Amino acid sequence: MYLFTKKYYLLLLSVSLLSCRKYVENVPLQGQRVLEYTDDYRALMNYTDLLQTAFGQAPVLSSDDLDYTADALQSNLKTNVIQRSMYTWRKPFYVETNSDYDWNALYSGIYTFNTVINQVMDSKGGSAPIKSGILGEALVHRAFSYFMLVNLYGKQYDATTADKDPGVPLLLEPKLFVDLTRSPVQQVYNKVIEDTKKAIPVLPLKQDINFRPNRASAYALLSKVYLFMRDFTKAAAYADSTLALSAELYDYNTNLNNFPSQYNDKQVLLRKTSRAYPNVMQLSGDLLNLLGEKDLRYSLFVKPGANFYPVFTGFGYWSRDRYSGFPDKQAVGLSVNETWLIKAECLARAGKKDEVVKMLNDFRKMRFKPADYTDLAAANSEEALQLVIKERRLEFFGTGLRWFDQKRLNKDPMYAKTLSRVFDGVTYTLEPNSNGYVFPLADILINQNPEMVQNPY
Amino acid sequence: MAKIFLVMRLIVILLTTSILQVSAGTYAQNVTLKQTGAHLTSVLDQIRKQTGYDFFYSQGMMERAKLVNVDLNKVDIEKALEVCFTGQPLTYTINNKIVTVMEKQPSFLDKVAGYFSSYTLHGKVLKENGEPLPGASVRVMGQNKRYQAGKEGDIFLDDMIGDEILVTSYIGYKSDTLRLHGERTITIRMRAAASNLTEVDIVSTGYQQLNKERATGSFGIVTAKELDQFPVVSVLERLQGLVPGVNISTKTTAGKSRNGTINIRGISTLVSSYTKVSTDPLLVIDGFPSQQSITNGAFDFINPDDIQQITFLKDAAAASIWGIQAANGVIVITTKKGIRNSKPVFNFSTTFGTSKRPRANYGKMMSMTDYIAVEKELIDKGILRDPVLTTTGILPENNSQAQAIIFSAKRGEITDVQRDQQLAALAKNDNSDQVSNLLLQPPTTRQYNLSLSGGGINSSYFISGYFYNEDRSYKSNTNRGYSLKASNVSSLANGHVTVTSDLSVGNTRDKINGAAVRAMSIFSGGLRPYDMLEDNSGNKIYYDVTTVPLIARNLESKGYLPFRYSPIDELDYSNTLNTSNNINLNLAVNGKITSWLGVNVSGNIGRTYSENEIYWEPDSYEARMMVNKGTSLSSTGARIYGLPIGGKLSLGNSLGRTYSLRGQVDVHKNWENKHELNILIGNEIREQYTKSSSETRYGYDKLINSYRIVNPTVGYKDMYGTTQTIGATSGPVTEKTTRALSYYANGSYTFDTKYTVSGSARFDDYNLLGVDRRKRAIPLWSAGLKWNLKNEEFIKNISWLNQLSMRGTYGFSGNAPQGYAPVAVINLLGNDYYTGYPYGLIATPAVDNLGWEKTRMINYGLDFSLFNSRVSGSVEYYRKHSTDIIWSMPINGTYGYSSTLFNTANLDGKGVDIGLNFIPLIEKDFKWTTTLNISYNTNVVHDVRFKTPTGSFSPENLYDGYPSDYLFSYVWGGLDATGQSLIKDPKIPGKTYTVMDYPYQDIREYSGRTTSPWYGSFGHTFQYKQWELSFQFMYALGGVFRKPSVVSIGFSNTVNVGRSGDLDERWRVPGDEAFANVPGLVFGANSNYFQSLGRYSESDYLIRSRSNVKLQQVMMSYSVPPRFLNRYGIKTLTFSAVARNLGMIWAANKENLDPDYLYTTGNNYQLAPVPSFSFRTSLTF
Repeated sequence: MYLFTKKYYLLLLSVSLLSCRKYVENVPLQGQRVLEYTDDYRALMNYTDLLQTAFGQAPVLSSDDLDYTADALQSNLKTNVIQRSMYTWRKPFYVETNSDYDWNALYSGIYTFNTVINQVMDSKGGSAPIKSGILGEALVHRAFSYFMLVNLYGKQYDATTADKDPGVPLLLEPKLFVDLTRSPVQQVYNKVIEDTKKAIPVLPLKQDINFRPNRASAYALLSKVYLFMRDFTKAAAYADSTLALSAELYDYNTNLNNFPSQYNDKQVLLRKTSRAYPNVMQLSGDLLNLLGEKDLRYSLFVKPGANFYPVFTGFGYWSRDRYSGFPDKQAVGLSVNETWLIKAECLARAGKKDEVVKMLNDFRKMRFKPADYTDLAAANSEEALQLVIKERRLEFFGTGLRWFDQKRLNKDPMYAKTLSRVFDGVTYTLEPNSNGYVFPLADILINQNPEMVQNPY
Repeated sequence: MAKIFLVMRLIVILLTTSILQVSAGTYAQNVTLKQTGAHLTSVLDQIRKQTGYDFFYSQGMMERAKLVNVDLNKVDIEKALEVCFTGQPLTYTINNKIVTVMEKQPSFLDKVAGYFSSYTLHGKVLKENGEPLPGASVRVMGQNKRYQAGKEGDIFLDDMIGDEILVTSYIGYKSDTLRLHGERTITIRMRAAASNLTEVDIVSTGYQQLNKERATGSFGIVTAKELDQFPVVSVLERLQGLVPGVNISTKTTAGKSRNGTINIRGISTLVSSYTKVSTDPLLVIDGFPSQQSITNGAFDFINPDDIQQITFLKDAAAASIWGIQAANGVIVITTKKGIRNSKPVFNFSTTFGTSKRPRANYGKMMSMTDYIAVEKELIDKGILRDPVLTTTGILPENNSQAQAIIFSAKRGEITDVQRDQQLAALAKNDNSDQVSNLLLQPPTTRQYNLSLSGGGINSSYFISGYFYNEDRSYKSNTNRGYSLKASNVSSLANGHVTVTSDLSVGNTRDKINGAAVRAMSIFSGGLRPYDMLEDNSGNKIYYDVTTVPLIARNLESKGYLPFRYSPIDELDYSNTLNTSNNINLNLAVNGKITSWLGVNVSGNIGRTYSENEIYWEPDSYEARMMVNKGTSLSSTGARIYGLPIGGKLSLGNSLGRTYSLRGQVDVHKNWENKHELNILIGNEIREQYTKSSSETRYGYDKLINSYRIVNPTVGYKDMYGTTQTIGATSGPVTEKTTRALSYYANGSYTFDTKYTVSGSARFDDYNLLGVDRRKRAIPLWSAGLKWNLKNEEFIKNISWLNQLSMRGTYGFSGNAPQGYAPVAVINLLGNDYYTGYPYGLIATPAVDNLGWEKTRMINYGLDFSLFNSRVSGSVEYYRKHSTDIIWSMPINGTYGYSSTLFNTANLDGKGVDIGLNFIPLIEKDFKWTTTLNISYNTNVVHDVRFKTPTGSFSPENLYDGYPSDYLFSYVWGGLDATGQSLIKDPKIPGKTYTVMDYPYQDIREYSGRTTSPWYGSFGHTFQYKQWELSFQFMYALGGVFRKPSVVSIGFSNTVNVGRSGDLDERWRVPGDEAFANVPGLVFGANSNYFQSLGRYSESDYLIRSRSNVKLQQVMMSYSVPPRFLNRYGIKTLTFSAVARNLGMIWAANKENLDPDYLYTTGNNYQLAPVPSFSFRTSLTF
């Protein structure tokens, strides 16, 4: 064996040992990867579970749609401390380490929307219009989420105090561990409006599925936001913009018992739904009186207590998904019917009672069998406004949307009234504009980040 | 890729040059050679090159050759050889330019001389079957000389007086002692080592073969012979109890006999659903990691008869060569190879396993009358409702026979007297015999193995084929498989290059039929205990499940498919077929550059292909109900099919491929028999790729292979009037590639056979998304020391001490934070069920705070052998300290995630492994050996962030100061006057809570660990001539479990009332609380049955100790003596029989429950563990 040969071996081996690190760094693309392509962002913005959350069961349990007078239901409620607190307007809802999944779900969406908003324009492989379209969708979804959050956990918007009232933390970048001080209500509203307006020019007029906002849904969001800010002129204007693009209402006479899936319902402009509902919702006598038995919404959505589990005496809400299958829960996002009623409300507030009555009658023809239908009439704009508010209540009962109306209408003296309900032998009351209208933050959030302030009890 | 080719090219160049090297040179007539202290081999090699003469010799005889000093100058070959062989124990013949080297025979003179004083003893060392055992070593006790048997097993011991004690030893065989009584010739028969671990001299780490004398780390070794000790079908069952510190569980579902889990020395990290770590040890087969993990059925593809040796690498020093893959220890399997220069040997063996017919009545069961009484009570209390009276549009699920009778009395259709008569008649039925006879069967396994091995001068081969066929306890459940293996070792270029290749192909086909399991469950389709399968004349009985008979017959009259259901029919339908194929090719090239330096280049290519097929035949109950439920009636009564008529086929495919390439340099150097150095340095690359997809087809008919295309997104109305959609028919295609690049080095230095230091280091780099190299890869290392006390002068002469050594190792290993990155990572999930669009989600948010999990492990060991190896064993003590364990901790949900990963927990583990072997009795034909294995392992979690227990007790929670497998319980306070549970506050005496109280503070008390810290085995083996009898006991001490009791009672017609016998002891009327502990069926105001039952079933009232001793197995074997076989050309023939699971000898719990086979209550039927038997015949010819 010659010495130089040995050296030659050693040299060869040492060369082979210097395999380069690119081997572990340039790995072929696969299902799980770093966000890189426009399609990756598109996929995120197709994730319907994430996109569709609006709120949880708190609004419907707190609203005057429900009244658990039946013993069986009261007994049921006793075993659920969280539902019990919501129902009796008592705080806290979530103690110790219990999470508020409604809050978490909305912010979970916001993390994804923030990721998309901050990065999609730099992604690879998509044209500029496609990228900006995705950006627009994320902006509207984020605006909607913040609009929900600020109305669930902040005080009702009041121009005089909104710049001081604590809203919710306004996170605009996908970052963990940043300061979580709650931004004032005004600031949250400003951001909602700014984002939505920014989205309008890049959004298409039509989308294939109603999980994706189109231009009409952005207008509808602005209309609703301004309504909540009591800027009725702007609310009306944006309602007009919405209805000019999309004004199709669903006629309940067309095919009773066989609703179109809410994924395909033309009425739905941006599909959002509640994360959860109570199993059984006993409807309040007050609501049943207003509804009457001729209304199609009565025959479709109200059933005697014997149909539910547990069985109870009274009437319960027979939700829409009982017709259309489990995941097709009632849409509580943005819709033509709601925008229609916003427009009517703005008209009433502007004193145009005849136009209001016309809009309402057109609407109600689709909610009654022709044989049962009678025109409404209003003596003055105040009566017209009352008719609109009543119609909103009948159109949306059982969905939770009523709670936001109750909270908002407290600012109108004629609707500001004290509510009360009896639970387990104790009478609970809810004063207009009281702290009971502002949901508490989960204790764990405050414990983890003390810079967040709790809502007053 | 370019790099790989470069590496491969270099290898080729390297090998070619080394081959060329050895055949170069010119021939001369004369020999010129000057060497001092050279090996005879290398001297002969030089002579060969200079003269062109060929040499024949065996490697074994050369190892006994003395070192050679020559100084030759142009001498002829005869002279040269004469010089070289002077004083050698070898001689030679020259014939036609071929030199044949032989063992030297003692001359007549030598023999005569010895006769008068000392003499030379001529021995012959043979295997049990009479074959010679070349290489076996014989030592005279009290002397340092070692003799080695020659190729015919001959051995010559000089200077014998006639009363010496001989000690024999050989790798893989039991050491033995023998006293001489003046014999001049003796025959020594050596027996293969069975449970005598300390006798094994070679350990394999997968990268190298180590001499155990120099190994500092902790190894557990099981040889092929030990695996044959209890020749049952499953390798894991054979391994149970053999190695201290290795805990093997073979409890599996549905009687699949090959699967199970292996745990080596407890845990070193904590497993949660977030952190993606596995607890499986790394399984290495012939140097490369197995494609399947142990829990995923790797042993399905391994022929137990192919296994040569299994080495468990237990401590950090042993395992560190495998880097981060070794976090849970490593199991190295080496397979059998052929032997060079041997005639072809066939080995055939067959194993047949069976057990008693399983009975469906494990655990305490309610009587039929009591069962009906519970149903009646639930109806009377309004919990179960009459499906006939349901007013909603939903068609009600059918109720039980007893419920139908009670409801029909309630509706006034029959009188109360008739009701009671009918119920009494019903209560006479008991279907447990029918279930056992018609739905169950005694499980059987047949296993066949045929192998052929042998070799020529330069190569050897081993070829084997293996087939098994298994019928499980549940009828229509089978598992079949085969594996084929071919291996070849070729020696090229005069032994300078060795090429080893291994090809193995495996296949398993697993058929699962759910009919029996379903019929025995409490869910829809489950039988009530009085539901017979056949009537008295043997006709099948059909039941309605989906809806009540009235509605079902009505729908059938409108053209719906039949609703009828019989579990016996379903045995033929709706099978799940899992087919798996596995191909593996290993290729290794070893080049010997000099006597002390070698290079090794090896590679591995693997492919797996598996298919999962679920086919619902058009006539199956599943398919009929699927179609029926998807069918609605139009206003004219016409059927509208939402789903096509026919069956359904779901197919899932997955493909895996893996390759590895490794280059390694080995150094073995020995100076003056004083210094021994072993070093290996290498690098390797490895890629694993998996791809899977799935699809579903409707309206499928396998007979004609036809199916119907469906529109997945268009809604249809189902039987209940609800709109449904079929949803996506094809699943996502998922792909995953993992790559690793590693550099490793390992070395040891031994001085004077007394002191060994060793060290190992490895650097692993993985593809981790978006993580920079500094965080991705860290070096892992270990170091060890060993002191062979026996070789010290002051101990050497203690005659009763045969072996004594001490060793200690320390190692640092870690786990990379897999799957988390400082950038958001997306998971693409295929098409959305409803919208049809491809969607994805952020699987992990950007996390930039994560580092490695680190484990430091220290191991001390003591190995000893006393009194002529009558007592031997090893004792080891280890500690593990894991820090920065990655665990999910809550963060503020406002960030979008309510938890994220942190390096947080610390885990302290420690344990003891003790393995002892005794030979209490040894006579000429009789031998009694005893083995005792004792293992202890415990751990405790430390981190102040894991607060003491509060509310939830899921395994996802850890608590500071408690072990990871804690069990907490409520302090049972009995029942209150309403029959509901009471729990006591452990801190405030006298304070109790009713079910209406919800105390938030920590009110549960620590009950203990759910695994036994002490466990092990105790075995005896008796050998008498050709007979062998073994017993193995397994024991577990400490730890607790909760006795299964009532968990649920079934609240609807879709969930039956379970048959737990404890429900029978429930509270019924006020006053019962004085003696009853099972909560009553109390509902309504001021009650909470779930809470009541939940607190009862998680209370300390049901806590029991796990301690138990079992007679695990008994084995008897008989080897037919060779003299009966030789005339048939048979070399060996062995029969053996094993009985397993023979039951518990002692259990600490008063119910005598086996804590490893706890039944689940709430179910109707449970299978009890049954003794199993296997019979094996092994034949070599």
